[in-house]
Parts: sequence; C-alpha cells; structure tokens
Amino acid sequence: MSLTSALSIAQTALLNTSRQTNIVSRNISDAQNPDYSRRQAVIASYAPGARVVEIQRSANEQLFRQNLAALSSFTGQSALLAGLDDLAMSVNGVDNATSPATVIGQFQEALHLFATTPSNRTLAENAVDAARQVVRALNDGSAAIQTARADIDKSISEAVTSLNSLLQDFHAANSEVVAGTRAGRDVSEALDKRDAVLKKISEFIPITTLKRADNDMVIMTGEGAMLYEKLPRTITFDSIPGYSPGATGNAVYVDGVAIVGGQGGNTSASGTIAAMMQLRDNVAPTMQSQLDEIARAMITAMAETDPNGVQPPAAGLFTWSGAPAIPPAGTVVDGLAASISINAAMDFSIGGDPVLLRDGGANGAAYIWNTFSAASYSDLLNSYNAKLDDDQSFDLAAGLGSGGTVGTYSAGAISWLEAMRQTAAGAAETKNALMVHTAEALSNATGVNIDQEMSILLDLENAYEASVRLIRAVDDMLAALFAAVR
Amino acid sequence: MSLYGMMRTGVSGMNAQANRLSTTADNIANSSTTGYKRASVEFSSLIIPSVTGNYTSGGVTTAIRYSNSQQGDLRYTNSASDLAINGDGFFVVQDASGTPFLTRAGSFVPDGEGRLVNAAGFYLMGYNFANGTPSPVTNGFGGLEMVSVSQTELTALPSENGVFTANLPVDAVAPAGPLPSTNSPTAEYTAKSSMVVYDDVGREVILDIYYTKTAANTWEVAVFNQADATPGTSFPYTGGDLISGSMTFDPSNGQLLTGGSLAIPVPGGQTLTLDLSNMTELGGNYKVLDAYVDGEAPSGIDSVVIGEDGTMYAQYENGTFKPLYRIPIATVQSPDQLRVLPGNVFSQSDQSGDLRVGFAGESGLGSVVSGALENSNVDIAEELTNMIESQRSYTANSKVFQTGADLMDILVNLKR
Amino acid sequence: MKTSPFVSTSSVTQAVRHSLLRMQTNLISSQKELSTGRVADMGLALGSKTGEAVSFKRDMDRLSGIIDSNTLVSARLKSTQEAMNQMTTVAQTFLQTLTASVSGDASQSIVLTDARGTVEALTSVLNTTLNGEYLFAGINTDVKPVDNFNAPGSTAKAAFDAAFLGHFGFAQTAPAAANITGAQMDNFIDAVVVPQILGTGWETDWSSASDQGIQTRIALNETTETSVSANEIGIKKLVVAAAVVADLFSAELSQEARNALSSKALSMVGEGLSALADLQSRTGVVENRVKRASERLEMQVDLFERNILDMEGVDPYEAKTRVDTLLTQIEMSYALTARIQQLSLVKFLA
Repeated sequence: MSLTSALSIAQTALLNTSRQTNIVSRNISDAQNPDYSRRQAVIASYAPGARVVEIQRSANEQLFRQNLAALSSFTGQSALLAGLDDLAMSVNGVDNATSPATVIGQFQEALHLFATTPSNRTLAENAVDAARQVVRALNDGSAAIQTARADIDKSISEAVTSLNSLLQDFHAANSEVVAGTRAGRDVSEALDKRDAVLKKISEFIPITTLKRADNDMVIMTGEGAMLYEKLPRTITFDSIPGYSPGATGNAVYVDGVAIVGGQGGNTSASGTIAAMMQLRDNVAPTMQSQLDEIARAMITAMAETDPNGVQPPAAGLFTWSGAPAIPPAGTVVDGLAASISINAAMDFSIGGDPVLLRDGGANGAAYIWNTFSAASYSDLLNSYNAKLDDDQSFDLAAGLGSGGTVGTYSAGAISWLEAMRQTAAGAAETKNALMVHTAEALSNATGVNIDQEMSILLDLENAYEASVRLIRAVDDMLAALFAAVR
Repeated sequence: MSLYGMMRTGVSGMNAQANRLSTTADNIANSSTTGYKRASVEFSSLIIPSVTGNYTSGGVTTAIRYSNSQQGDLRYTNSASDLAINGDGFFVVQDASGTPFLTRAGSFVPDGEGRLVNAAGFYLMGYNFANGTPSPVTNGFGGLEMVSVSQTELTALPSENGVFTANLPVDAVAPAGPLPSTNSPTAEYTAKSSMVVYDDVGREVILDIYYTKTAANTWEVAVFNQADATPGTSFPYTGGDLISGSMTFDPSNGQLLTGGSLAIPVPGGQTLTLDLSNMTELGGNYKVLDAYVDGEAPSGIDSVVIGEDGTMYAQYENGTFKPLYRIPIATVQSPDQLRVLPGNVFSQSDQSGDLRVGFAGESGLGSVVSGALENSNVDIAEELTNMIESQRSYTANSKVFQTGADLMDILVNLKR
Repeated sequence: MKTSPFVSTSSVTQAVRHSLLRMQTNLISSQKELSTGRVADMGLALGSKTGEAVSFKRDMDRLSGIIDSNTLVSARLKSTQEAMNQMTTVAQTFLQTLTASVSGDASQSIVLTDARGTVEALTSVLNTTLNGEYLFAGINTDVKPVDNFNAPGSTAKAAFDAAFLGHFGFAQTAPAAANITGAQMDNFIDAVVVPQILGTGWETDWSSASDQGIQTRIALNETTETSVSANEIGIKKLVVAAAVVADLFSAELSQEARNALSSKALSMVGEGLSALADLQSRTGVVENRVKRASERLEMQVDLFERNILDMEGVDPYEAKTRVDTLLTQIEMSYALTARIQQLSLVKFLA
C-alpha cells in the first residue's frame, strides 16, 4: 500500500517471529518432559498486518484418557504384584525354603527318623526342634502377614494424604485454567500442570473426567463418586496402626463413597489404593486363614488320644491358647497360626521331656500309651506319622478346598499364592506394555519433535531475515527520497 | 488579460502550494501520532470567464481535506486498555469539562480514579451495565458516562439453576437397606455424587445427591447438605434430606419418563432448580455425563477485559466475568467532513451529517481491538513526494510571477 | 499402529530405554538360570504348580529319609539273622550232646559242660547289641533281655529253684533228689517247667524283653515289625532246655531221671530249633520287604527328581543361547542409542 505500512508490517513480522521463536525454544526445552504438550503459535491475519493470536496446545483427550486408564490399571497391578512378592518372600522365604509346607515335610522326616529309632533321645529332641520350626514358620508367617497388613494400611493412609494434596494442586491448576480461559489468556502452563496432576491422581485411583464450560474439569472415580467439582472433595480414611488376624481394616471413602478393593490375580483393581485394599482385605486374610488351617491341622494330627478312649483328644506336641481341647474341625480359627506353640511338657529347652512324644502323656497319665516306657516303642509315633498323612477336613473359606492332607494343603497354599503371583506378573507385563504404548502414542500426539522444532526455527530465521531485509529496503527507498529533497 | 492578473494568479498559486506544504509539514510531524488523520489540500480553479480572444487569468483556491475515514495500520501493544477500531467509527470521549468528542486515538490508561484517559487527556465514554443491558441512544450521547473501573466491590451470585445428567445402571439391584430419604444410619444407595452450589452470600454448599433404585425403572433421588453428614458413614444427616423425589424411566429406551426436575432449597440460598431431564437408565455403569450449577463465589476484580464487541468486562479473581460497560462506536454520514480539533478529536460539523451511535460490529461500524493502537494514516513517502511536487509548483508559480514582473518592468521602461 | 506420522523425540528415546530396561532385567534372570540350572523365579515360572514342585521336593526328602532309616532296619535285621544263626549252631551242638546223652554215650560231665556253655552262648547272643540297642529286647531295647542263668543272683535260677522245691518238696541239691524217678522228672518238666516257660514265668523271671517287636515304617504307608524278641517260643525253649539240663545235671539225680531229662530236653531243643528256623525265615521275609520297599522308594525318588527337573529345570544350552542373544541385543541397543543421538538436525545446523 505504501512504504510506511510496509515498514509497519515488517515490524509486526519481527515481533511475530520473535514470539514464535519463544514458543519453539519452550518446546525444545521441554522436549523430554512427559507432562509437556507441544505449543504452536497460530498466526491469524488481520488487515492490515498480522499478529500472533493464540498459542495452541496440542492435546488429544482420547489418548490422554486412555493413558490415564492404562496408568491406573498398571499401577494397581504392580502394587498388587509388589505386595504378593513381599508376602511370598516373608511367609514362604526364598524358594519357599521356610514355607509351612517345607518345614512340615522336615518335621515329618524328623518324626519318622525318631520313629525308626525311638530309643534315641537326640532324635526325639530333633523331632521337637523340627516341630519348633513348624511353629516358627506359622508364627512368623502370621506375624509377617499382619505386619504387611499394617504396612499396607499405613501406605493407604499415605496415599490418601497424597491424594488429598494432589486434589488441592488440581484445584489450583484448574482454577487457573478456568480463570485464564475466561480471560482468554494462554493457559497452556496450567493445562500441563493439570494434566500432570491428573496422571499422578490416576496412579492412586481410577478416574473419569468431565469437561465443562471454560475448560473446567470434574473428576470422578471409576465408580462415579465425586473427587473434584469446583472444590476438591475430601477422601477420608481411618488408619489402624496394628492388625491382628481376623481384624477388618477401614474403607477409604471418596466423598462418602467407599472404594472397592480389587479381585483376582489379574486384578480388577485400578490404582494403588484399590490394589492395596485387595492385599489388605482379601489376599493377606486368606493367607492368614490358610496358615490358621495348617496350624489347626497340625494340632489335630498331633493331638494326644486316650488309649482307653475315655478322655477326649487333647492338644499334643502342638498346642494353642484353647488347649487342652483341640480346635473344632473344618472351621478357621482366626489367629491360630499366631498362637500355636510347642507343648511345654515336651519342650526340652524349658525342661520338658521330648520322649513324651513317643510315650504319650503330655496331658496326664490317661494319655500314656507306652505304659512300660519301652525304649523302642514306636506305635504312637507311627500313628502320628500316619495321621499327618491322613486326609483332614478344612474350611472352604480359606480358599483351598475342604480336603487333603496337611502336606498337600500347605503345598496348596503355596500354589494358591504363586498362581496369583504368576497371573499378576503376567498381567503387570501386559498392562505395562499398554501403559508404555499409550504413553508413546500420547507423546507422539502431543510431544515435541526436536528436529521439527529445529526446522521451524530455520523457517523463522528465514522469515526474520526477510523482514529485516524489507525494513532495510524501505529505509533505502526513503533515503533515496530524502536525497531527492535538497 | 493583464499582467497584474497573471502576477496575482502566480501569487495565488504560490499561496496554494504554501498551504499544501503546511499540511505536509503537519502530516510529517504527526506521522507517529496515534489516531492522527492525514490532512491534504484540494485545489480548485478560479478561472474568470473569458470573452472572445481575451483570457483573463484567474487563480486557485484551496480546500483542506481530512482522510478521517481512512484507517491507519494497527500496531499491537501489551496493554489491554489500548484500543483501536478495526473498521469505521469513532470512540466517544469527553474532555474535562464534559464536552463530548469523537476520536480514534485509543491509547487509554486508567487515571487515579479508574477512568480511562488517552494521551490527549480525553476520557472514554460508555454505557453502564449497572442498570441492565444497555442499548444505545442512536442519535446522541445520552446515557453515556465516563468509563470507570475503580470498583473493588465483591460480588456473589446465588445458585438458581443446575443440570445433572448421568446414566443410572439399569442392571443395578435395588438395595435391601432403608432408602437414603429415610435418613437411617443404615441407609443404602446405588450411586452418589455431589455438587458445589452457592448460597445467598456466596458460600459454597456441597450437596450430596443419592440415586437409589427402588424398583424396576424407578429410582429415588435424595439430596442432602454434606455439611450435615456424620463423619465417615455420612448417614444420618442432621436435619434429614433437603428434598427427595422419584424418577421413572421408560423400559423400552431407558429415557426419563417422570421426575425430570428437582427444586432444591439450598440452605441459606435460593431454590435451585436441578434439571434431571436428560438422565438415562441404560446398561453400563453409573457415569456422570454433565454436571453444572450456576452461581459464583464472591471475589474482587482482577483485571479488565474488553471484548471485540466493545463490552468491557471485569474479570474477578475466580475467573468469572461481569460486564461493566459497553463502549459504543459513533460515526457520522461523512466522517471526512468532521471538524478536526486538537488532540486527535473530532466534533460534528454542519457538513458531517447526523451522528449515529451504535455498538461494534453493527453494520457500518468496525470492531474494537483491545491491545492495539491505530497508527496515523500518513505515508512519509507520499508526503515527501507531495512536498517535492509542491516545491516545484511553488517555483513554477514564482517564475510566473517573476515573468509578469519582468514584463511589467519592460512595460514600465517603454516610457523614458 | 501409529495414529499420526508425528513422532515425538521423547518417545524415540523412551522406546529404546524401555526395551533396554526389559532386556537387562531378562539378562539378570537368564544369567541366574544359567548358573543354577533352575528357573530364576520358581513361583513366576510354575504358578499354581509351585505347590506341586514343593511337594515333590518335600516328599523326595521324606522318602530319602525313609530309605536311610531302612538301611538301619536292614542292618538290624541282618544282625538278628546272624545272631539267630549263631543260636542255631550252638543249639545243634547241644542237640548232638543230648542225643549222645540219651543213648548213654556221653558222660554226665560232658553234657553238663556243654549245657552250661550253651546257656552262656545263648545268653550272650540274645544280649547282642547294635548301636546300643539290644536286638532281642523287643521294644525294651534299653534293657538286657536275659540274665545269665549260671550267674549268681539270677532271678531265673531262683525261680527255677523255687519251682523245683515247690514240686518235689526239697532242693535239687538235697540228697533226696537222687530218688526222683524218670516219671517224676517227666512230670516235673511237663507240669512245671513247660507251663512256666510258656506262661508268665518267662517274662517275670527269665526275660526282660517285651513280646511286642519294634514297629517301623518302611514306606510311606507300610509299617512292619522289624525286630525279634527273646520271648519267641523257639528261643525260650532253647534257653530253658539248656538251663534245666545245666542245672539238674549238676545235682545228684538218678540215671533214670537224667535220661528222662535228656530226652525231654532233646525234644524241647528240637522243637526250639524248628521254631527258630521259622523265625529266621520270617525275619528273612521282613528283610526282603524292607529291601523291596527301599527299592521302590528309590524309584519314586528318581521319578520325583525327574519331575522336579522337568518343572523347574532349565536347559543350560538354551539358557546360554538366551544370554548370548540378550547380550547381542543389548549391545545393538547401545549402538542404536548412540546412533540415534547422532541423528539430529542440530548436528547439521552450523
């Protein structure tokens, strides 16, 4: 149109180029930030001249939501797997070396050896020691399970605290987004922050989001309970510092709605909280029940009987808090694995006589089988050995069926845990792959490619140079004019 | 035909060119003045009708023209209160004494009292929203007042309308326990959500909304104030439910049949009409699809934003907007005929035609651009070439005069 | 799979990083498998079969324990057989002496000496110990089963003396003993000595052994008696025959009584020998059972071992190949990472 307007347009172009360069440099500096979405300076033409109208932020809600869901389900699965690893290690030991199944086998071996040479007191002591290992495995396993539950409870409490503070962070970011959107400001920073917070929240709990006017966002849990709507809702949880077998933990309430724990090895739990609740309320108590059942079976198998059949059977080598009675058959007695102990009458380390194992009579004269104290009396020992290999009835509630010997039952407990662990590990791998894949897809959709930014930078450089050229040309032309005016 | 006539003609030509040079000087001087409109000179001949064979030289008269309607380039700035008009029209301003003017110089800044004043000291005028949505007085400046953003008031808006849309799971089993509406400590429900609403003084009230299946295709909805909840279990709420209702769905398509609206008495606030008409009962999980309630918490003005339509909004700290003023755009039939006054302002002249006041974007009126200023529409190159042209014309005129003077000299010297 | 042709820089580097991480984790477990020959994490590899593997191992240990204890049992049975062979030899010599005595070819003193020797030999064999346990004590393995009849203070001798006194009204050393007729002696043996042996007298006065033998589990569900008691009828008869002869031949008995005694003792030793042979063959059967049980157990252990290997064993060649492959892959990844780092437009912008 005229030289002046050419000059003015060139000036605007310089401004635009520098703003675009600014965006490019932001993009490059955040290329490796997974929470960063690529920005684009979109130039809209106004007559006359042009200006940077808005900064567009690459977003792909579909992929982002998929990524959040994959993140939740992976963190849930990996929390379950970690918990199972922990429980398997603390209850069963490395390669199941300290598992009840293994120590019961060792006890049976020791008992058999003693039965072969009943006159040998050392072998009697060995058998009692082996029994002590069984007791220790059950006691320690039970303690480990309850410690694990208390630890999980603490972790849940920490997760709830983090979640509450994350919701506060979300509130701050969301408010900024809403205010900025209404004011037409560039809210990319706040959106990045909000997305980053959402990712962190997803690690704890599965979420669904709902977008409202002005970029306002509502967060709900997978079950539809409100997490955030204008204001963060409170998530409440009463932690219990210590757990005993049979004790039930408290639920986590989101806005008054309880979070449901997961189910199965390929867990239905999404997010760490549901997985931890599954471990605390489902896996660990079932393991405890299994240990309790093993303890009960050991007490029952090793119970002393009256040779004349007058007295009721009484707790023998293995005893418990309810001794001398033996626990009722086929019913879980909560905490039995924790309270099972060696009968003091046979525990040589505190002055008991291990030979009572051969003769009977830990519960009084009525229970003596070897009335003449024959040194090589092996019938009672052999009957114990036979009873250990006999089928017993177990509580279905412990999840391992109702039949089998104590040996197969204790091996079944390992199978139960390891099967779950195997499924969990496989599922974790699959879910991890999905998470990596969705993260990659999201990164491809919203991330930065440095090469692309560099080539844009080249373009910008050219544009800038061209504008400068233009200004110089106009300047030259004006100079020519001035030269004409003498 | 006279030498004097010729000399006078030359003089008039020189005067005319001097006039033109004056406008050029002004134009160049104001080439960077915001909203300055270029002045130019139009010449018209004053030729005396000649009789046969006899030419009587006349002269030239000048008329000053202003390119008021020609838009200058927009220059972008970082101040939201810098305004420009993209298109036709003028801002209405007034001086300290209250006289209204028109201008396109929009470099407004707030003064000590919050009024927007431009570089020449003129105050921006607008219609106030205080008395409802304004409509312009098309043919005058009535109803306009000085725009002032000094208010630091806090405003709150109680909630009155809301929408809640969700899918209720058709396969849900009706809970065996007492319904939430009974407010029993053992109440059971199918799904729960909560929403933030505002009472009369802008306090946030969280409403717990329970959906409970009571029978096939029939649901109960019960609303409680979360502040009354028993910690942990929620139930019972002190004081019971705010309201409860029932909804029935069409088993053939899962759409709502009855119970599409709920009038909730917000504690300390208005009655909130919650629209539930889009609720569905389909397969799948409980899923909230839309949740919205109006109302605002109180907050102070954070900044002032001016939209393209000239509406000036106060933006509150919580991000909400409230329109404060609407800045009108005024124009006349012939903007180029407006009287030009110091300070880049114009006033109506007898030739400019009738004043028309309207809003940005209306037909024949431009739009308001915030964060931009209008450069002067002077082009230096043009001015310089004009100047050279004037200079040459002036020289030529002076030559005419000189030739006349020389001839006169010869004539005078005829008589010795 | 890519929804758009756009690739973000971070996903390019992350992809390599993720796969590298996975390969390194795999490498660690593969190396462990290579060095141990077993799967790195049994639980993860076997899942619900882990319990089975644990059971196999446990049963294998238990069966090995039983095999070990069976060798002990076999040793005991072998010693018992040996001892019974000795008893048979001693008893047969005594039988010859008695035969000679009945036919009048042997003098009183020869028979007496032989009888005393037989008593001592039998007593010593019956008191054989193995690992500190008396072989013929039944389950009372901590008590010497029989006292030496000839030793002073023997309860058996005292009981016999009392029985003699009770039957005849005088001690066998009394002069009146010379008047005992053959029929009277027969009557004494049949009415007093034999009931005493077969009745409670043996266990109260002669033997401390229990009738009950040691019951041993020789397989998981097979229990058998693996000892021979001194209270077996054959042993009783041999000991009593020799003791009675040794005791009464020193007294002043008539030749008739002596002959009657000899012939009674002869038949008793004969019966005893045949019962002992019976006992020997019975013991042989048990020995055989133990041996077969051990063989069976060994086969089972072998089977279990193979099963365990099948379940948690790793083919070392396969593991080695896997380690090698992983190493190559990781090296390639490193090279690739370095190349990708080079592959940037920045490098080409001067």
